[in-house]
Amino acid sequence: MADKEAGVIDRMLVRIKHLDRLLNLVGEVIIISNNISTTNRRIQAFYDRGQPLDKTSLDMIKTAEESSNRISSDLHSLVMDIRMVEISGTFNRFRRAVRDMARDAGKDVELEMLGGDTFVDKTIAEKLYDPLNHQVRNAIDHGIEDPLERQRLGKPAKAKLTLKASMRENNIYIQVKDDGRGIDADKLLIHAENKGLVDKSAGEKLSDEEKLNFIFHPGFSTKATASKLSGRGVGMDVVKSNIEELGGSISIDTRLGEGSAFTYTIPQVTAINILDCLTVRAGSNLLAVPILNVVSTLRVSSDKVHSTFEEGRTISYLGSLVTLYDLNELLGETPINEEESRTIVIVDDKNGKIALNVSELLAPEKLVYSPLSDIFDVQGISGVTTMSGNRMGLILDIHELIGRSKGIVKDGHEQAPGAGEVVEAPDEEDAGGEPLSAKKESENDRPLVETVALSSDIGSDIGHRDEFLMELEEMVNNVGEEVLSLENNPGDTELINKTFRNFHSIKGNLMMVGLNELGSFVHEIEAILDQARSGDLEITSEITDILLDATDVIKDAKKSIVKGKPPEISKSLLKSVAKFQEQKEVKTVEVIDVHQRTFHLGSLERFNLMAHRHTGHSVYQLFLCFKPEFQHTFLVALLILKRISKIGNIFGTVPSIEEIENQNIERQLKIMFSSQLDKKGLEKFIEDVLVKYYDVTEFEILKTF
Amino acid sequence: MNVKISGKKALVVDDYHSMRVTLKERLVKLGFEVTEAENGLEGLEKIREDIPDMVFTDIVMPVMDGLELCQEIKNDQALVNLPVVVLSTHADASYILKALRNGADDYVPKPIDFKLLEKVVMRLIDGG
Repeated sequence: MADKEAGVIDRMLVRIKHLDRLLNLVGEVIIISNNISTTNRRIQAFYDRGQPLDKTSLDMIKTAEESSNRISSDLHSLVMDIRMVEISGTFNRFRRAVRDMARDAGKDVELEMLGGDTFVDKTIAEKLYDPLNHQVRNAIDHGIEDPLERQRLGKPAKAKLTLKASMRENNIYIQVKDDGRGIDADKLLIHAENKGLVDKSAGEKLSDEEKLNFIFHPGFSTKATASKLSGRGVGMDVVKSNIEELGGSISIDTRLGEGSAFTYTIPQVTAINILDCLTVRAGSNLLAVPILNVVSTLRVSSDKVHSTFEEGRTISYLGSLVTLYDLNELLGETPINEEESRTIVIVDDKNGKIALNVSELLAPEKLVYSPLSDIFDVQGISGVTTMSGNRMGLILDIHELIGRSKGIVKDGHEQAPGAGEVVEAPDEEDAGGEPLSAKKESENDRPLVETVALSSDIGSDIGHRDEFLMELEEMVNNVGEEVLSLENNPGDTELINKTFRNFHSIKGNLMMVGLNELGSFVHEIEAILDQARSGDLEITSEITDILLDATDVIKDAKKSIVKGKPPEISKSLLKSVAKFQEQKEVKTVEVIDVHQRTFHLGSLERFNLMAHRHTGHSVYQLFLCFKPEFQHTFLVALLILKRISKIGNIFGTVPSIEEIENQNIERQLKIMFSSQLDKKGLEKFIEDVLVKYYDVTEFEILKTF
Repeated sequence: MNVKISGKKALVVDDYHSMRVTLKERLVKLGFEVTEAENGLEGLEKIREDIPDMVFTDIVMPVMDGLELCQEIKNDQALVNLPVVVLSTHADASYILKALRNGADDYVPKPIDFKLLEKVVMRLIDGG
């Protein structure tokens, strides 16, 4: 936290008109202070004479109080105004950043900035930078498609990224919007399930909004990717807590294929640390409840408190049941234990409403608020304050209290003992160690990030991995359907061909994402289908079973990438596949001694050779050594021969063409050919072409005639 | 190898978008101007519209596969010198031979080793 504060600039420009207003207020403070001195002397005189105060004195005190109240409120709003800056300062920092990020990501992005003249508190403007930066990156890296993809989808190649600010009713709205691919809520759910954040049965019942909320969960995206793709090291959970630190919230609006918009709603009032509170006493504790959270205060007799086994104690408020908690108990202190009647404060925040049992209501007060540092992180308390009468008080963190009351435990702190249960929060925690149900949404259920595919780093560093994975999913689905219809129409050649092609493509994509082992396995599947394709093998239910099992294994490929370990193929499946593997012929390879062996020329070649010599061509015998870097030896040999045939006529080779094609070759090649090139020209050709591009390492022109 | 080509056109024929995009990206980096086709037939049409300097084709594709495309190109007098590079996940010798017999000028296995790709490009453009 300290680092972040250090990053905030501690100087700012102040408008002259604000300074003038400040000067006026200072003048008024001096006047009041003089008036108070006068009043004070007057009161002293009455006191010395032992007389009660006259009406004038009382009026003077009243005026002084009113004036000082007005001035402190004016001062507050002036300081607020001085601290206000245009959000455009923050937005403008993204002009260049967006251009650079887009270029790095190979995207074409136009940045649109709306409402830049919206005034926000300087701290807010600065603290918005990190979350916005993260979201802009996310949008460019994951949301926005590359130009080709966009064209294919019929979208304009240039994507639009919008930063928008507006102000309504003391709330600042900041929006980051892109017209990219949108977020697939169901994919998030699958990812959440894979991560064990929610179990399948609970996941099915979630609304899209709830599924989207997984992106705010800490660690929803793996760290490795986050830093690799964007070098940012923070996830959406951090974005969310940044915004919550400002007292704000985030909403997501996303449409598949159309784009996403993240909107921050930030109350302007959090800008300065003056808080309207209701002060209360609970036992010996003085506590302040932020007025924003207070719904109502009431006094009820104990017989109005219902007690049920499931819900604990509840009271009825405006026709609905609200769970009642002893405030001290909720803070982990000794309960208040009032029996006769109860003083109750009903509080709410976006997560719900609870009733707090307190000992006494004190007064509404404007309090100067000092946040507690992380070191003194006290559950349920957000800061300290000095209350009237110079008494120290604690400011309640209602958001956290409601979270606690619902049994949502934060950072290993234990649930407050004896706290009642709330209807929406089933008691799963008690089962011990079960994953939090996503239904119990709270600040602690923050998730994610970005699209699902981006995850681990096994595999290649090819830029389009997400897309390969997405295609893979589509291919697997297609292949699954094809195999099912193949079961019913085993003789359908077109269908066999199609299935073969699909497995072939799947193999390609698996290898592109670095799942080579699985790729080789799919190669075997493909080989089985190839046999079926050529009519050597009949499609039986045994084969379709293999195909379906293989499809399932491939389906899990993505998961395995997320987990960072290779997918497992069961032994029984491998065994069944092996059964259908073609018996490969065992070749007996005779090692050819290129130097010793002579050319076997047929009579036609001999005739040709003579003819060429008569037309003034030279005939060469060339010996080559080559060392293929990437390709098969026989392929390089054939390519060399193909290239030589462009400068002459080949009459014979050692090994023979048939032997080369049978891969019976060991990086050495002898060629007899005729060419118009003289010896020098040939040497140059070998140096410039064969050595440079065909992996030739040594050569020798053996004989010319 | 530090490759930079300019003013050359390449055609990428593959039924999968991801593969086309990946290949295109690489070829553009090498300096090619790249057009795409989704199968052999579409590829052939594009070639006849505007003859590129090099063709990169997958083998297994619907409508017209890469081997047929090779044949069509090499059987056309106007296109016979157009270099065709076949890219495939088929790593067996039989497929490579099939491709070469159908007129392929080079063969790059998938997943594509981009160093090999560069080498092949230079082999055919500079060494051809």
